[in-house]
Amino acid sequence: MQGGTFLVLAYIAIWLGTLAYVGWLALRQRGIAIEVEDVRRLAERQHNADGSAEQPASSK
Amino acid sequence: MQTTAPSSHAEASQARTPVAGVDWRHLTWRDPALVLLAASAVLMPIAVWLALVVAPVAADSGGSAARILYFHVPYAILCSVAFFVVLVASALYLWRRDTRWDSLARAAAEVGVLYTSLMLILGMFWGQAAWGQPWDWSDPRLTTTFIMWLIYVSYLLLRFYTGRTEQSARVAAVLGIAGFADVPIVHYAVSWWRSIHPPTDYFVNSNGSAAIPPSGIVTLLFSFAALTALMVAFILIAYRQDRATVALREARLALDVDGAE
Repeated sequence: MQGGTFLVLAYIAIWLGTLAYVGWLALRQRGIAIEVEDVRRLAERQHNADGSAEQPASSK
Repeated sequence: MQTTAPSSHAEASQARTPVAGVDWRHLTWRDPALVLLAASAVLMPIAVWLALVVAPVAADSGGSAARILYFHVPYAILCSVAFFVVLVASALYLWRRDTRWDSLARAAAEVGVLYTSLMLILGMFWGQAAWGQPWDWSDPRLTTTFIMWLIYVSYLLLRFYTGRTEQSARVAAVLGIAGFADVPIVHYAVSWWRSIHPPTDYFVNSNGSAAIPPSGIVTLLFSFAALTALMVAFILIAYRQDRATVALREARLALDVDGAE
């Protein structure tokens, strides 16, 4: 089969390339999700710190 | 795939997201990215089957390797479309100074580079089978396409190494606009100069009739539809990720300011 090997190699190469990009998107998505959780924890910590600072004033 | 990113202190404190990974709760069939991915997943096996089994082969173009054409051509058209999106989004960013256009330009450039890379890889395999060599530096279509690829790789490197400043976005937008000048040169290279690459009217006879049988045209339409759906889905996902990154940066800045106060 003339050129058959090149045809198979070409299709393998493009699917590997596409899957590599999907993997890159998934990794970035994972990084964003971790960052969201990090920011949420930071916000909660600040919110709790604000709450404990306000409590003595409101109990007067 | 969608990740909620808090854009302010209040939103950040209310955000409820899982510890890591994709938030699958946001995936619904109303999500255009998921619909496009599903459409591509259905169309792609049909397109590959048509290209490898049903579609005709031109005997003088590398034998079976000529079937590469049915994906090579849609990739070539769609990478130009992606770079046109970069051009329009970059111009709109410079005009409106809205970072959403900047995110769209960045996402389209990323997918455009992916599609150009895959198109070049397919072309090199086809070239090896048809011409006996994967690349010819004296060929204007190949060389201008390689320059186009370099321009947009430079665009992505610029974005990666200069961070997320307004100045970096402005410089990238200028490059995104100026870089598009090479796209029509790539298209007309086969007409303007002598080239071993098949001409752009490869599919049309001199009398205007189709140069390939209907099964070849149907195959091209299927691969074009599958790759278009995949490209739009990729751009949408990359765009959302960029918006999430921008929102997270703003939330972090807001929290730092609040913490300092």
